[in-house]
Amino acid sequence: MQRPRVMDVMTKNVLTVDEESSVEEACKVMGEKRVGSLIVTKEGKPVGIFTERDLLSKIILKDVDLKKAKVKDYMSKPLVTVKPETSLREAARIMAQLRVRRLPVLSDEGKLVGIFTSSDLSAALAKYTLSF
Amino acid sequence: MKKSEKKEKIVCVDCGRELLAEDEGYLWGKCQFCQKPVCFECAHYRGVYKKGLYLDDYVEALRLCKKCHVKEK
Repeated sequence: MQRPRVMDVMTKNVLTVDEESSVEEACKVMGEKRVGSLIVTKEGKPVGIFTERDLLSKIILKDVDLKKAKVKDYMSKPLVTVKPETSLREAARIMAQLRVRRLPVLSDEGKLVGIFTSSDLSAALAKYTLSF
Repeated sequence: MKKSEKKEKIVCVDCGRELLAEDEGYLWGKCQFCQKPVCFECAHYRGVYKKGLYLDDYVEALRLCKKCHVKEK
């Protein structure tokens, strides 16, 4: 029986944006790369996540100027994380209970090694048997 | 005289279902407060703030049984 873990299906190439970037710049990256979120960094350290939901609820709805607004003022924080060896079943439960759709993955040393999203979970469901 | 090896049954502390040792991490885990086994159907998760070398404040999800989860509230 296959028993995939987060590290088997997570996205390893994590896209980031500096916290001082404008929301417009972040949206351009998200659009070009076809992703729904970006990890926000400050001096190279992850500090938050900027998502489509942040864009809709905090910026579009409030009619904020995309060019003037900085990502750091509208990102979601802190990051809710999991370890690479977490099972997919448990990761899915964590997403449901903590009401997040994306889980940055931290190694034992605390380094960001990937991101596990609801899309990765859907892809895993298609690939592995449902008995995981 | 051989000592008989008694295998202790592992049961979920919340629902009582029997758990297999080899399923640890996949179908069940230990409550991170009381260390009792809890199946993933019953487990509750609570975020705790942590500081890291490579990250500032971040949240790690802690797996808790029902009793420890309620106590924490």
